[in-house]
Amino acid sequence: MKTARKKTQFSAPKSPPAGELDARILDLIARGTERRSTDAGFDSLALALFRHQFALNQPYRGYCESLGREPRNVAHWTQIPAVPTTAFKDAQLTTLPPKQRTTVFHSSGTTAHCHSQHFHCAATLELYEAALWPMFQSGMGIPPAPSPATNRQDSCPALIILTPTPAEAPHSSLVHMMETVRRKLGAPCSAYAGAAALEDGPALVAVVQSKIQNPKSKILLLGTAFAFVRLLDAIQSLPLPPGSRVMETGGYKGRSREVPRKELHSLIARKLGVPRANIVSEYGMCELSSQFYAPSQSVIFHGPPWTRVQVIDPETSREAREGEHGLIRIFDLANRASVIAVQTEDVGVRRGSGFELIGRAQQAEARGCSLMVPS
Amino acid sequence: MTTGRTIAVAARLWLKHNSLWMTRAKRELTAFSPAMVELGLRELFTDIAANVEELERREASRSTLHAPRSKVCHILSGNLPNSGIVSVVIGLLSGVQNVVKPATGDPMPALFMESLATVDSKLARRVQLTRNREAHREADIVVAYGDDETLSSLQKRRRRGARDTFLRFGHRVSIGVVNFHHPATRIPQSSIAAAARDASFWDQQGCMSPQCFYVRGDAAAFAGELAREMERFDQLWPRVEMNFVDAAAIARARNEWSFRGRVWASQGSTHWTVVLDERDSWAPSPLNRFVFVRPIESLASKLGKQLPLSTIGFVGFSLKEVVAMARADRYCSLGEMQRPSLLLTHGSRPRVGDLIV
Repeated sequence: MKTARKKTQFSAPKSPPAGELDARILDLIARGTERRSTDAGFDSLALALFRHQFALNQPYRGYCESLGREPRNVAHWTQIPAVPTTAFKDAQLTTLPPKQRTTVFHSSGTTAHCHSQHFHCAATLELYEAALWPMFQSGMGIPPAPSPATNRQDSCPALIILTPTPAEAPHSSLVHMMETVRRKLGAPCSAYAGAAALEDGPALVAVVQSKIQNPKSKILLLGTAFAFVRLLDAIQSLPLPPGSRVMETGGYKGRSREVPRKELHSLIARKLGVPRANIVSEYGMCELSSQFYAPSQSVIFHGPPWTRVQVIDPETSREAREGEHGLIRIFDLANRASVIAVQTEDVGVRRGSGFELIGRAQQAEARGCSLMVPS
Repeated sequence: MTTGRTIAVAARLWLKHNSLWMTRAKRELTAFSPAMVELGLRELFTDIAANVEELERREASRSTLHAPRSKVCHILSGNLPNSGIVSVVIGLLSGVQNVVKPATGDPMPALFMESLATVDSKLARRVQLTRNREAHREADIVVAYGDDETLSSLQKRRRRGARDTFLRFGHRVSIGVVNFHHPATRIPQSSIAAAARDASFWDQQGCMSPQCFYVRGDAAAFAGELAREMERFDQLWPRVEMNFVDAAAIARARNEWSFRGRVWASQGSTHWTVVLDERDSWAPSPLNRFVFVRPIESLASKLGKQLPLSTIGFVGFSLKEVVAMARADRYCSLGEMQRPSLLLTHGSRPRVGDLIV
């Protein structure tokens, strides 16, 4: 049975201090996104983080103990218990004492009690910001660093962000990511659409139009899929300057009609004049600190070297074979103050070291007369 | 031969050693494992063979039996073979013409009618199978099983003035209540096996399948013992292999509840799951042998007044005590929840009299 305890046991080293872990994570991030970390290196840091989280994250510790897993019998990162994303709604899954919790990210939900909560302190927010940048940079084709001769503010593209502003959404990890990108780019001509415009196609068009006055100034247009649908539904054609790039992310959550990814990208290419090679999809969630990217011409998402992805066969709870469907499980070493292993509700297909995102697992249908009542 | 006698003879064809009909059903009814099909159909046809003539005698005493004949349309849901077969049997006993719209891919109504035709082809002709989704429009009475949304849509499409003849059997929930109060007075092991049987039979697809057992006493101990019995039942009558969506729903629910409560589950498969939920809450089961165990206190506070209850199975309580806890269409002992006798009259299927205008 699932609750049976593993027999493998060994003496686990003590939980390392947070500062030491942060330094190791930052060191891994600083090595860049090009090379996959060695399994030994990943494993060593993952196990150290597990010990830390087991020691300080009480709800997680209880969960691990109920599964019979603890540092002395977890010998590899693949054995670290993954917490379902719904657990972030049920409990405060954090190693941080209340006084240190300076920031909390919520999942987007319709009612307050449905929100996931992911707590951060100044140090873990620094990890979050450090982790998001290299993948964004490589996904969006931004040069690693400006040449000394160029003035960054002159060369950087204008940023248009189709999300609420940071003031409107202080608990949105996506908006925090956008704001971090804006700061790191130092983009002076950036603009958020803002919450009101997101509900109104013509207002979104006005935001974009206001930033494309100079046809030579490239645009980075970032936003949620539903915001793109609203924008695209409101225009026949609104070509962005050559060299512009687009990043779309997130689902629809019932806020607009749903458009399959390929069709959405075709619409972006046709109406905004951005070639498919300059469009990327991003996959992230408030329960994680790292993101995954797929270029438009590929269906495969890849993450940074400080992450690993498993696709779990729901029937057997084992890793699905290459090409088979399963539920996506993510190990994110940048999640220092919560849990590094997160079991999502998203369905994916394993493709090498990446995954193809199929979408949110559907609720099984109620058939016949037996009722599956919503709680 | 009376109609009842003819039906009983046909039912016995299914119970013979190496029955052709049973063999075909095990092959064609792919929504369940062959072992589950055999067990379920054996119980169904044993009940029909034993009780259909008695039901006919009881109903014959009603003068309404000889009222003008009507045309009845049975719209079947296909989640379980039982309800459709029993509905048709009752239709035949009432003397009406029957139009039966089976669920897509459900072979059972056709198989049953074939078996009946070998005994009495004239009687079998009183049942016409159809694929026409609008067949109900021509019927005087509609008996419809299925999810609430489908039933409401059907009812809306009925011609004006016919609403009073629409007998709908939609979504409902069943539960068990168990007095497991003290280790010294624990209910016998056979009762726990009976609870596992109720939660496992027909892979929990029917509205008489319990989604939750409410326990007085050590609910965790009950859950652990129930898990062992669920495993035993699955060894003998395995659950059918799931499609991805259903397996993912179970996996998600297991993940969720392994954090919120305590989970006992079949290893390496989604065949069965027992969840101990000690919060004062109600949550849906993804079915397919996924059952909750909750302290009995949460029954009074949450369920009794909120959910449409079909059946309450009980052990260790008196009927009076159980009725005081919650209102349901039917009360029975644990182990009997999925064995509704043909002679019982309750809200999960029509009575003969219902089909007579």
